[in-house]
Amino acid sequence: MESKYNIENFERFLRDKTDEFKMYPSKRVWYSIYNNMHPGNRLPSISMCIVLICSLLLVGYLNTGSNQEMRAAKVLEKSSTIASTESNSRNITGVSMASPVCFYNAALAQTSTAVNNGSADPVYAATANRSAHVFGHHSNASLPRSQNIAGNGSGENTAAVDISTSTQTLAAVIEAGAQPPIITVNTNPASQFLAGTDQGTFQDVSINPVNNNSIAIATTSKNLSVQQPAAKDQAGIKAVPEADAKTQENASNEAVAVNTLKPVETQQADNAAPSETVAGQSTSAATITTASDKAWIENYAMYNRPATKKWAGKLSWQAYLTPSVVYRKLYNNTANKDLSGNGTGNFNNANVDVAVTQKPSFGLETGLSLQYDFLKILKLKAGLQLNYTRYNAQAYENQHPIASSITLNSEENLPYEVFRTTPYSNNIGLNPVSLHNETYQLSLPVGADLKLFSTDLISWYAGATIQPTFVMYANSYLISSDRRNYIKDRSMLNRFNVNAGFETYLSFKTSGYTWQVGPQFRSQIFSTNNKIYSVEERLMNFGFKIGITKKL
Amino acid sequence: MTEEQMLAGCLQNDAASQDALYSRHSPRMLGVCYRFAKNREDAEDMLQEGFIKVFSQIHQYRNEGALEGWIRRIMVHTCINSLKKNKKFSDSVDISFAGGIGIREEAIPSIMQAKEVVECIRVLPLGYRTVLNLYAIEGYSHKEIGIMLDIEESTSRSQYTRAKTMLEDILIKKKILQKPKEKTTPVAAAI
Repeated sequence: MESKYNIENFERFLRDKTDEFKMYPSKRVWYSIYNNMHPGNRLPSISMCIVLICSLLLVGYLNTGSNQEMRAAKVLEKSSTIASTESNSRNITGVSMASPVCFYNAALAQTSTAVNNGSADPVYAATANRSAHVFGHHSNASLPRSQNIAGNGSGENTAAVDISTSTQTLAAVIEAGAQPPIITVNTNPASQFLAGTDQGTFQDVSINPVNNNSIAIATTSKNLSVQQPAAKDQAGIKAVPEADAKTQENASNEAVAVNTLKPVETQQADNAAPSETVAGQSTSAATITTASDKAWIENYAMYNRPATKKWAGKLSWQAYLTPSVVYRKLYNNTANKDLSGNGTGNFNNANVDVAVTQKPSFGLETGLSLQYDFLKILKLKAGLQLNYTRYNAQAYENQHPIASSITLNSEENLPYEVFRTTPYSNNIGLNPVSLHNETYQLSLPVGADLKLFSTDLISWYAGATIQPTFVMYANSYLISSDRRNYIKDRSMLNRFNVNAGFETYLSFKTSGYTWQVGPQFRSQIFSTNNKIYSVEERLMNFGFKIGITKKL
Repeated sequence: MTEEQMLAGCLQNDAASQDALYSRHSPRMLGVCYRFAKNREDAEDMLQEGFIKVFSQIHQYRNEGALEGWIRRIMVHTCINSLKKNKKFSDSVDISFAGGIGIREEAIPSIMQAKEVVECIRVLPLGYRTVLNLYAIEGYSHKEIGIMLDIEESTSRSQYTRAKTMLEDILIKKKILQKPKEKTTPVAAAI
């Protein structure tokens, strides 16, 4: 490259060149600036959060209560109707489209097998034309802008892939990695064809990583035809294996023909203009014909870098453990606040929370969460969490069970009694015993942490989560209608519930990890038992959270 | 929209004017941030922070110089503050002891023209790159750089000399810069 600059005017050279340099920021930047400058217009995102939380609450609510089964049945009925309709429509579509099952890796595997056996004369042909675009930003890998690629073994082990130019875009990207190459093809019922024995249409082709090479292909081609078998001379350019036969025999079965072949001659001069190596190992470097191609490729590579780094540094994993103390509050179900004189003669209208002797017990929470730094002061998080809660009721165990009853609500919200026998008495008995109401829960906490204060080493956060919860197992002792006995019964357990968590914590940075410690409050939004039972139980956990976070 | 209209709109916190100002200056300013930042994402974060400062402090602009120059100074200061805030800045390269760092030739990117020059600058160690950006491109004096980076003026000078040497080598290897022609001395000419 000729340059008018030399070392003597180095600073001027740098200024001139860097002044010419421009980059176009992503939309995200402007949106963030806009949100910062016009906080009043942030409502869409806040409202989205509210909608999300409401949706979660609704899901929890729908899975709660006496109508749960009926609702579930309705949902199932609707789902089956929709599924049936979709199935029918798919079948109709399926009739109109061909069913091409063409995986390019299969073709490559065939060629590779032929190479390994040494019994064939595998020819890999690649013809390039200028009607499409290819880029490769790794020095050892590039592809021509548009190509007809034909893999051609001898006899039956042949396969050809022809990518001809059309109006839509075919993009294939091979990135460095350890996985074998996989090209998946999505079908499209458009008017395209597949020559040979298989016929079908393709719209998207993607190629997964191939060994240590990076290949990126973008082309305007769309039609792929697979010919099986294909004649050797069909290809525009022939390519022969770069390595000798011995090397080929020693090649791994996983070796891909694309990586071991290079074009050596061109049969059709018209197609030869931008003829380039498809891809090679480090020894078979790519050649790029013109400076304009190179400029285009590098320009493309510059402005189309992999988007995977977008998340880098913003995602982190957190593992945490929270020992807690569990309290509970009992309420009379609102539908049954005053049941005196309504026919349920055993019902005690006293405050149920006072009528029982109860003691808080311990609980435990542990989980993993994925956190995303949405803003500098706001982290979004979601995860999976296990909870153990326990609450003790002080009772007496009798030698012989006695008859007792519990008050339930009918579907019409009218109270009625069912009778049970139980050895546990609330007030009088022989042996004092502690009854453990306990649950094992699986939760999906979703929430956010807000940074309130920060220095280099320590930060102070406040956070909240909403936790859809599934109760995996529980021990439940129900208080009888007259409040004199406890009855063990799990049949009215609310399997799905929702909890809300609130916490504040200090965050300390150490080498590579961040520690969090602070108090936490978790409250159960719906009752432990469903609406049939006339007493509502709400659990509250007061805990101390210890967490460790690592950036991904 | 003229620059005066944009300024008047920005003073009234008008979103359309801010958008116009941002659209006009953001590509070049992102280029500035990119030279300081570790990657594109960091550069966009710096750009975002810088433009928020621009819009919130636009009333301080006195029309005494080019608006682009004023924005550029805010961007540079934002970049420096961002680098200082990031602990990795002090961990990765101690600006006073970066002398022994070498550049592998294969790390030199192959990007054309201005992009190539910028990418070559970004190959330099962070400390070198920062001083070189500030002195050679942004036009700050070594004294100002010393204050900005909390280093001695002499340190800035020596770091710049080393950065320049390293960058020259890279650019000459890439054939972007030409070696100075050897001047023949009168004695040699006589011989």
